Amino acid sequence: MEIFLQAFLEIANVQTLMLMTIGAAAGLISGAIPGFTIAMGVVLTLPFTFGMNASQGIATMIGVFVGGLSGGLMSGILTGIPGTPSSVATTFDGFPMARRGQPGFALGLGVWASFFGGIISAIMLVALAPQLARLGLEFQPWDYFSLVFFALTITASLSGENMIKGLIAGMLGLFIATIGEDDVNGIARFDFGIDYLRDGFGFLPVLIGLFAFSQLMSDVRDPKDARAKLSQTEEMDIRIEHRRAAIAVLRRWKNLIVSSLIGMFTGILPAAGSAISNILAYDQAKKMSPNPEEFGLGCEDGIIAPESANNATAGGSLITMMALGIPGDVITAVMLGALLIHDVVPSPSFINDSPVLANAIFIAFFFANFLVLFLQSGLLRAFVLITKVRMYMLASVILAFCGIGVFALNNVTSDIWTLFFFGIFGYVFRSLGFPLAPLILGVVLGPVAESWLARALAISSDPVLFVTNPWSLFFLIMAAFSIGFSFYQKQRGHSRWADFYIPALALSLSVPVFMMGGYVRPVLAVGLIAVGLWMLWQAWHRKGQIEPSNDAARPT
Amino acid sequence: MPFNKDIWTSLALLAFCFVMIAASFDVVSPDFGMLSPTAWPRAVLALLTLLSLIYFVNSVRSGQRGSAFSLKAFLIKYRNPICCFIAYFVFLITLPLLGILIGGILLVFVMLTILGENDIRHLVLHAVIATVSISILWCIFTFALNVRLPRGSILPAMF
Repeated sequence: MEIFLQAFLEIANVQTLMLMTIGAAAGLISGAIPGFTIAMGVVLTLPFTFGMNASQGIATMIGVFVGGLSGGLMSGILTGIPGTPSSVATTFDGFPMARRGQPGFALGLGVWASFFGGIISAIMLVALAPQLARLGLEFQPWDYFSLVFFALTITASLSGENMIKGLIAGMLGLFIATIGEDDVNGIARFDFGIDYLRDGFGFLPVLIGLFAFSQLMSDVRDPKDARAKLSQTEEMDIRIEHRRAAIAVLRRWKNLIVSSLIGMFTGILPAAGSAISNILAYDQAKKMSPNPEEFGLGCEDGIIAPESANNATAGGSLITMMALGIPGDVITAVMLGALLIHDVVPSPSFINDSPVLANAIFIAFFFANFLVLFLQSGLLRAFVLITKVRMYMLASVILAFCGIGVFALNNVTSDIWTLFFFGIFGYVFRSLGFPLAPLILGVVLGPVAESWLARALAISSDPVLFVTNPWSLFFLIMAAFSIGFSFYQKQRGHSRWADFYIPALALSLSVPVFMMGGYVRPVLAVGLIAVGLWMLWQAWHRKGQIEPSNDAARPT
Repeated sequence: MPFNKDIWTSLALLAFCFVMIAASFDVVSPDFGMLSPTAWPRAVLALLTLLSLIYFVNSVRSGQRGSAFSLKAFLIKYRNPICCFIAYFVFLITLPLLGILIGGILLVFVMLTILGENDIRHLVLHAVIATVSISILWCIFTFALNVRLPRGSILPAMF
């Protein structure tokens, strides 16, 4: 209780609340501007957090994160163009409802669904993070290495059409992290005799260069787009219908809870962020609805589901970061960087080692949802006005700001050069169709993977331990199946083998779960076997329902 | 038949892998520790080489033809990013002389003028935006965050 009170006082003071309010407003703006992602907002906030203590810094970033998730709904509902990928599904019903003459109600539904989704995920964060951290304490070096491997493979597999490009990006990220002095032995690697390379690349300049610099260059590539206003939102006198919307959201509590849980569990999964959760929740709400034909025409459930899910994702990704020390996406990777600046290393023992900071994060997440609700209600008109700025003006100032912010990290000019080089690299890489998320996570997770591998080998050089340790085997199986996931998605309903994919996953996972011992886990393993066998039986009897895939149908 | 973009990229990746694998033999191996400093990067490079090979084979098998390269078309298409990168490079080169304050103002002004309209009215607007934004950032970092930003050699000592 004393720790909680201490954490509460760290957040509930005028200075921190002011910083959180500024952060939430910045997040709302970055979320409301199409093409200007939440990750960009968080990345740009980072340099300002150097002068703050760890609690203030992370609370400000949480404000940006939550604000960004909610900000996307404004342009999505009013213009039909989602501000962020996390509010794509909101436009499906939000925009039709606004065009039908109910923009205030549509915005209200979005605002309140975001709020309740955030609160549900905050409750789950408080409940689940310590439990998951307790599980994490069971992990040994082999398990950690396999977990990092799984995080990278799933990032690559979710990176779209071309998984090979995703995997290449991940591997390049891992390699970039090896340049410079080796953390394990202190030996210089790939420095080619150049001092600048011997020091290695700072993670944050690389990240800001790869992400922010290259994103801005992409935004201004087309001269016409560069000179256009950030958002084409027309000036409207809109009042959010709070009372009606809040009641409507609470009446649809089942959809709200299911969507929030979908969002939260998507967030827990490494690499699967709010861009995915809002679509999943929308799809689930449509399936659950007694009137699925109303979806797409301005249906209330069609706004509640994606908005509650995308805000709930934030809580889920914070759970993974706090409990396991693994960033789930670019946003939590930046937050992890912010914690490292303050000499706080997230790991399974983080909640025990830094209980005040951990509780401060929980409290900040709660507060952020209230702040965003308040800001969205009071400053809607101001946000619409801010998005009238032209992209080239914003990009030019932000590019200079990136340089200043990066310099402030270590007070060395070489960091600005790193930002510049990785800005060019990120832009070229992006232009060639490679996803940046696996690259960034590779840079973040590379040193972690190498250090756990070194620890594992220091204990024993026997590689069999990677498959005889239950958690390690669990993550390796998950990694193998995540590599095959994009093939499964393409072939589902077309190829026979795809029917056996999920049963095979359930049956395979039952082995390490059974090996974990105790009482509960073997029962879980039996459950997994039962589910796997039942799905196998169903798949076996689904003969004749396979449609030929496009490849198979192609004449030879 | 001109190669498509993916074939060129995969070839560049393969060349990169071979250079780095060769460079890994120059890394000193200490007598201590179970994990040699080259083991992890070599494992990563081996996987990267394998993936690049798969990428190369897929690109060749796709049968897509690349279009003939035109420098003029390239420069027109990528005018804005190229100009911004050059401006940033000049900003970095002149940083010891101009410092963040003057250099930053000039950088923002030049980029605004390259990317936006450049009639008199806009030039004045760009100058105001550049001066105000960088001055505010400079003040925040210098006075609020206590960061000693590069002053440059031409600015009087009082700054």
